[in-house]
Amino acid sequence: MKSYFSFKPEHFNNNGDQGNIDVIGHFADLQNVDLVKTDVLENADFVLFGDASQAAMKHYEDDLGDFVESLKLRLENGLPTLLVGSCFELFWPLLTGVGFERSARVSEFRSVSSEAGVILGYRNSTVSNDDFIINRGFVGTTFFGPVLSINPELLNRILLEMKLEPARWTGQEQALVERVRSDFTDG
Amino acid sequence: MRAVLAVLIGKLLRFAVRIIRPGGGSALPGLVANRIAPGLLGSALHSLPMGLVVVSGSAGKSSTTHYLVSLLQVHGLRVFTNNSTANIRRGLVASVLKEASLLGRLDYDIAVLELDEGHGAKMADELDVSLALLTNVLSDQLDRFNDPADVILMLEKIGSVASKVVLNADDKNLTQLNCAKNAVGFGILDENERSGLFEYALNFGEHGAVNMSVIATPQEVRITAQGLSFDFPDLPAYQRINVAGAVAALYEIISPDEALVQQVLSNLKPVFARNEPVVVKGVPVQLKLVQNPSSFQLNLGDIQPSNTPLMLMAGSDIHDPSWLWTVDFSKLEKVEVVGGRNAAALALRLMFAGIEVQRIEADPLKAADAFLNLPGSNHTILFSADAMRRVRRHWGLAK
Repeated sequence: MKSYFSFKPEHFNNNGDQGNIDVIGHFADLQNVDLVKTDVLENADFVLFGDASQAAMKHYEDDLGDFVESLKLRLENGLPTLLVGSCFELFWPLLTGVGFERSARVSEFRSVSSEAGVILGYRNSTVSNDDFIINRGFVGTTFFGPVLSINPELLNRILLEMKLEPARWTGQEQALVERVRSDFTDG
Repeated sequence: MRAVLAVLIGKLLRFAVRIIRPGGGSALPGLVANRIAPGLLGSALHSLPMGLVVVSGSAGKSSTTHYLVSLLQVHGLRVFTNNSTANIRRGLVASVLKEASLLGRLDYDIAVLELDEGHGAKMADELDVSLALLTNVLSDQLDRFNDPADVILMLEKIGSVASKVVLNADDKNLTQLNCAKNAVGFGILDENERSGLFEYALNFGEHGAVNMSVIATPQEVRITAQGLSFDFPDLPAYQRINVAGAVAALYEIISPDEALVQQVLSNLKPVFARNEPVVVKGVPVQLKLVQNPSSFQLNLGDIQPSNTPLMLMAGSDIHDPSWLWTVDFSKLEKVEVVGGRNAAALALRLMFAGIEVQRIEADPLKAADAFLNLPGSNHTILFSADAMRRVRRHWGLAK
C-alpha cells in the first residue's frame, strides 16, 4: 500500500492537477498496490499541492504556511512531491530563499530539458526563469494539469522514488502518449 | 466616408468568402472592416432607438441571448443580434456588415448581443450599453483569462458602463460587483437545485444582497414585483436560469404582454447546438456543444446509456486540454469515436478514467463521417466550438 496527501483537492485542481493522483494510482494498481489518501503530509509517499485560484490561495494562506517546514524536509530528501502553478510560486521561494524572476504573463505550451527527460506542459505564469525544478522525486513546476500522464520519464522517476516499479504502458497507451506529446510540440 | 468604405469592402469580402466557403467566412470581413473604420461597430449600434443590450459571462450567453431575442421579437420589435460564434469584435463587426446599410446604419429597434467577456471589457468604453445582462463567473478558459478574479474585473467593467444591470443573483461573484448595488437579480429558488447547477467560481466572501426580480422554479417563472408567474416547459436547471435572465431583462426593457411571454416560454426550442436534434443523411443526431468544464459536466449529466453511438470531440479551440481532467467522465463506459485536433489528449484522459475508446480520429471530418456510419439509433455528439463549426459545415448544417 502507498499513500498520498493532496491539499484541498476540491479547490487546488485548476486544469486537472489532481489527475496526477489518478495516473500514479492507475500504475500502482497494475502492480497490485493500493494508493490511499492520507491527511498527514509527513506520512505520505506522494504529496501534491495543485494550482488554485487567487481566492483559494488567499483563503488558505495560513494553512499553506504551516506546511513549509515539512516541505523543506521533503525537498532536502528528494521525496516524491509535486508543487504546481500557484503553489509552486508560493512555496519555492519559502523553501529555498530564492525568488523568481518575473516578466509579462506567458500562456503557452513549453518543453524543458531536465534530468527526468524532456518535460512538456502548459504554463500560464509570470515566472520567467524556472518552469521546472527537480530534486530526485521532488518537483516544482509552472506546468499545470496532469503532467505525469504525458511525461513518462518523469512519471517513472516519481514511481521509483515511491519504491514502485516503472509504469507498464500498453502499446496502445504508449502510442497515445506519443501522439499527445507530438500534438503539444506541433501546436 | 471611412464607414462607407469599410461597409462596402466588408460586404464584398463577405460575399466572396462565402462563395468559397459556404456557411463560413465571417472573421476576415469583420477584421478588415474594423481596420478600415474602427468606430463602425459603436456608431452602428448607437443609432438604434431602443439601445444596446449586452449579454456576457462565462456560460449561458448564447441561450440567454436567444431567449431574450425571442421574447422581444414576439412583441413586434426588430432585434439585431449576433450568433454565438461571433461574440468578439471581428465577429460583431461581421454581423453588422451583414445587416447594415452602406452608410453603416442598422434598421432595427434594439440590439441584443452576446459578448465575450474578455473582448467585451476591452470594447466597453466605446459601446453605449443600455442594459448589461451578466450570467455567471466560472473557473473557465484559465489559459486565456488566468484566474476568475480577472473575469470578475471584466464583468465589472462591462456592468459599469451600462445604464442598467441584470445579473444572476445566485452567483456570489456577481452579487459582489460594484455595479450590483442597483442591479436587478434573477435566480433559482431552490437551494438544492442551485448546488446541482454550475460550479460558480470559488468565492469565500459574503453573498451580496440583490433585488430578486425573477425566480425560476422547476414549474414556473415568477416575476416577483408584479406577482406574476408563467408556466415553464421541462428544462434542465442550467437552461431555466438562462430563461430567468432573459425574462428579467425583458421586464427592464419593455412592459411585456403576459400572453406573448407565456407563448414564448411554452414553445422554447433548443439553441444552436445546445441539445439540438438534426438529421444528417437520414441519420438523427443529437448535438451538444461543450465549451468548458461546467458545460461538459452538465451535458454529460444528460447522457444516458441509450445515447449510442457516442462521439466526443475536442477541437483546436481547446488550447490547453488539461481542463478535460477536471471533468468527471465516470458515468461513461464506452465512447465510440473521439475526434478533433485534441482527440489524443481527450482519449488519454478517458483511458485513465477507465473508459473504452473505440476509435480516435484527429481529423474532425473523418471522425464525423466514421461516426455517422456507425450502427445505432441515438447518435449523440458532444463537441467543442471548433469541432462543432467544422462538422456542421461538413454536414451542410452551417447557418
